[in-house]
Formats: sequence, structure tokens, C-alpha cells
Amino acid sequence: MQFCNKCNITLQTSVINCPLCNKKLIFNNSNVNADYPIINYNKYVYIYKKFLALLILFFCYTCFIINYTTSNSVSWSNFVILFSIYVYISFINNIKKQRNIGLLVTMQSFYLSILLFCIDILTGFLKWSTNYAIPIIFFIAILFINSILIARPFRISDYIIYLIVLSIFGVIPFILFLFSLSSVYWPSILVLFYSLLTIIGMFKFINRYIKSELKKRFHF
Amino acid sequence: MILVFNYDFDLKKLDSAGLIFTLTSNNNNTNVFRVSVFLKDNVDENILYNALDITLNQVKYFNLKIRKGLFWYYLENNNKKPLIFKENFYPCSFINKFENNDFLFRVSYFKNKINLEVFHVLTDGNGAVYFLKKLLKNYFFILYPNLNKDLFSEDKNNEYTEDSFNYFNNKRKSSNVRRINKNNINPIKKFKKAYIIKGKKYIYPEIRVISGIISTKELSDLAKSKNATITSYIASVLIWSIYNTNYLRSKKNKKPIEVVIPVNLRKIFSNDTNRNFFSCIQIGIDFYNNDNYNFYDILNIVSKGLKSKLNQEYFSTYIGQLLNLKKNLFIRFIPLFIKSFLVNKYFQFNEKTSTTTISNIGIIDFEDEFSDYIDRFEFFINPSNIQRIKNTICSYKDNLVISFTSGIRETDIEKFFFRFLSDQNLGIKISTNMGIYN
Repeated sequence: MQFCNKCNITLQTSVINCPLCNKKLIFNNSNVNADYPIINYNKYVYIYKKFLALLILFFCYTCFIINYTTSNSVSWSNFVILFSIYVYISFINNIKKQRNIGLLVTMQSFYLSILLFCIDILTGFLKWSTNYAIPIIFFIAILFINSILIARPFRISDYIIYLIVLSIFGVIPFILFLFSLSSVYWPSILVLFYSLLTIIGMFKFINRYIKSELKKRFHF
Repeated sequence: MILVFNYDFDLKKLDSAGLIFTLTSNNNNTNVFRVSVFLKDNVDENILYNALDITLNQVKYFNLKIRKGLFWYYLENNNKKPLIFKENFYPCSFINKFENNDFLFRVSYFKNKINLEVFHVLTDGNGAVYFLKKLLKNYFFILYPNLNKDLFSEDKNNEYTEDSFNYFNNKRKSSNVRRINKNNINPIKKFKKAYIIKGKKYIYPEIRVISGIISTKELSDLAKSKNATITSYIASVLIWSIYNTNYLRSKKNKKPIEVVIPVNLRKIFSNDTNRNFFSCIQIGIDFYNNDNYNFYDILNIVSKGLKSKLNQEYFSTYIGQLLNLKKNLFIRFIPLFIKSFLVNKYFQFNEKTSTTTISNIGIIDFEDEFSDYIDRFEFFINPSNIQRIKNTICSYKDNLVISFTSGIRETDIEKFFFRFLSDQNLGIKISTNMGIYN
């Protein structure tokens, strides 16, 4: 065992320097005694978020400056900025909430709806987003979660809450139609019908689960 | 249509301490602690895995995962299989639920060492030691079939138990409240900043661990000769070390050195829960107004402080005040993400009232039959952004291990601490995780 004369201590682990006074210790025993492994990790993994944010910010800023200096009306850079924000939020969310497809689908349907709605407004609000895009996104999302639940019923506890949330928010396209924000009625009616069908189906077949899940999620 | 799934219908609320730990955990303050055991022989991974599987069936309160509600987090049964890791991470690093099959604890091994790391939401040191002991027993049972079978019999019911804080508070309310708070004790102090240890920080997840292995008997005799307990003696040495190194080196120090000492409430209230049931005592020494303190003055103050606060009266008032806050209707109805933000800010602010923490898990008693296979136990708690060095004590047989977990590069506090103990004629063996041969 190694010994540090300065600190008057014996070393349990084989060390290069004394951990207390940093004095170089001689080690000539072939029997290495280690209580911990040497850990090699990538330090830069923990700053990727900041780096990505900086990169996107720089990219957006450059686009804006080029757009502003080459033409007086700011037009195409808005789309770039919007899309960059969407990519950044999706990426961060994807990294953080990995492996829960339910949450990923729910969040993506919201982000994508907002992105398309904003693009629609920037292009003169022709209502293509509220007429077709948003209802179709919600329809696909509900269908997707429904399919997962049917295919993998044993993971009901992982997906049930997202089905509830998406079914409730499936009403949004119809509300948009009521407030004259969309002009074509059939896509919103279709989503509304499918959402209601899902809600009725849930209460019919998995009533106990729904009640219990709501009780747990809303306990205070 | 009948659907039979592994669905957990019960609502398992977090205990009162767990609620705070969920809201305040991040990379800078992981709220993960580690209990390690060093065996005499190298660990067999397959046997350890089998032992863990058996143990999880016996100790149900570890088989849980955490879920987010609108107002609070809650727990749910976990149907996945546990994992065993080969140690390749720093002690007390964040337990990523996606990499750990949603479990709130992590079992790893390295050579002859088994580590159990637990997210504080699940249980405290006492509960973790109970689980580790069960795991070890099952491990030895598979490894050495010739051992006496009576050693492995079930000893108590380990179903998910009630929140002891609540149980205790209801009991307190039914008894005479006035009688309990007769001395007008007010443990929740006004905000007063304490000295914060300065140094060059490690970047997450790096932390440095330095443990000193000392003879329990020698240290106990030394403490007794000074009319102190081991906790109060070590706490005094720690305060004295911080004062003589970090405190004196930095300029313009007006703030006191405050030490937080977690206390196991099971003994005080004779309650035997496996969930969180602890509280904290804070003891401070103001060196700015009394710069002629010597070590024995500090020992005297710490011993007296501990003695005066280690009673039912103090803790009953403390818990009562905290629970009143939790039961506040306004707080209960704030959505989780806002609550998380507010509580996090408050605790970052509140943490500045203490310099360091010293946690004594006590004596780990294990049947004598196993002493041939076990060398020692170690215990670590995570350093935070503000409490950059934390100290723990843990003893098994005649091996008492004092461990420092540190988030700063300077080792002068540890150096002064162990040299001070070495000067008291204590033989010390040092173990560390930095600058090692492998």
C-alpha cells in the first residue's frame, strides 16, 4: 500500500498523486488496487443544447440581415426563422422525451399545427391550414395513438393520457370553423366525429382505466 | 369486453419530502445518493441480476416509476425488468429514467463493489440500506447455498406504506397542540445567508470523492473522551477545516458557517416506515463576531446545539409548519410546471442559508454470518451548486468511512480534515476516484 508522509495517511487505492496534498507518490507494486473505474466521457455532450441554440440564432440573424439588406420588404427570412424555431423545439423535445411515442406525437401535432397556421397567416391567410392541414394532422395523430393502443394494449398506462388529450383537442378544428377561421366544413366535422367516437369508445371499453387515469393525473 | 392489463389503479402519492425532491432535481442538484458495499470477492453479474429480481419482488416500494400529473408528481408500479450496470459513471449522477427502464434506483458493480444509487424521492438512507441488505442476502443465498436458511426469512411487511409525515401530523393534531409547542420553538428561521465554499468547479457530471476509512472504536473513544458523539465531533472538525482553509483564504467574510445535519426521525418518533422520514438540524458558527474561537469551543457549541434540538418537540413543530405549507389550497392548485419553477427558485435561494451538509447514516448492522464476505459500506450524497462539498459518515463493524463528495477542484478542506484526524493518532486509509491507476 502507498503511504503519504506529509499527510500521514495510507492509500487504499493506487494513486499517481496524494489526493490530499497532491504530492507525487511512488507506485511499484504490480497489484493495482482501485475502488472506482476511470471514466471517459464526452464533455461536449452536455453543452450541445447551448451550442445548437447559438447556431440557430446565428443562422436566423444572418438570414434576417441578408433579407433586409437585399430587399426592403422582409419576407422569406420570416419563414426561415419560424422553421428554425420549430426544428429547435422539436429537437430538444425529442432528445428529452425519448422513447415515449405518445408524448412525441401529441407535441408534434401541436407544434406542426402552430407552424402551419403561422405560415398561412404570413402568406395572406388563405385558410388552407385551418381548412385542411390542422384537421388532417389531428386526425392522423388520434388514429396513430389508437392504432398503438390496439397493437400494444399492455402499454395502456403509457399512452392512455395522450389519447384523452388528443381526443379533447380534436374539437379545435370545429371551433375554428364556428369562429369562421376555416371555410371548408367536412375536415373539421370528420375530426370532431372521430374524436367523439374515440371518447365514447374509451368510456365504453376502458372506463375503469380512464377514470383511474384522470383521478391520478388530476390529484391535488 | 374484458381487458386485462398490468395497469396500476391505485394512486400512490409521493411523501412530503419526496414532493420537494421531485421539484428541485436537476443536473446541478441530482438528489441522488449512493450506498456502496465492498465485498471480499469480485461480484458475479448474473447472480447479482437474479438477486435483484428476487429482491424487487420482496421489497415492493422500489418497484415504482414516477409520473407527472397536472398538479403533483405521483408514483406507479413499474412492470419493466430492472437493469444492472457496470460502473461507468460518477457517483450520484442523475438517474435517467429512459436509460434505466423507468426505475428510480440504479444498481451497478465494479470489481468487488456493489453500488445502489437511489433517487431521494423513493426513500431516504434508511430505506436504501434496507433494500441493499435484502439484495446482499439474496446474492449470498444464491452464491453460497450452504448458508443457514433462517438468515433469509422475511422480517417485516414492506408494502407501500403511508406518508409518515402525515401520519405523525394527524397524531399531533389529535393530541394537545399547545402542550407540544410550549417553548415557542420556531425552527423555520428567517432567511440569513451563510458562507458558501469557494473554488473552481467541476463540470457536470464530474465529482470528486475522497473517503477515509477509520477504526470505529478509535474514533468513538476519541469522541467520548471529548464528551461528544461521533456526529458532533466530525461536524466540528468539518467546520474547523472549512474555517481554517476556505473561509480564511477568501476576503470579507461576514457570514457564519452553517452545517445541516439530517436526522432520522424513525428513532425519535418510533415509527418504522420505509419511505422518507427525516428532518434537518442546522447549526451555525459565527466567526466574524468571535474570531478567537478554537476547536473545543466549536465542539462545545455543536454538541450543545445537537442536544437541545434532538427532541420530539423541535421536530413536531418543524414538520407541522412544513405540512401546513403543503396543505395550503393555493399551493395545491398551482399547475405543476409553475410550481416546479417557483419551488426550484425558492430552494436555490434557501440553500444559501447553509454551507454544507453532514449526513450520518449510522451503524449498518448485518448478521455476523455475513461478516466473512463483506469488507465495508460507503455512503455518498450529491454535492449541489451551492453546497459544493458534502460529508457523510457510515460504519460497519470496525470500519467507519467518512466520505467527501466535492464539486470543486481544491482539496484543502479534505486535507485539513484528514490531517487533523491523523494528528489525533487515528490510522486513516484514503480511497478516491480521481488520479488513480486502473
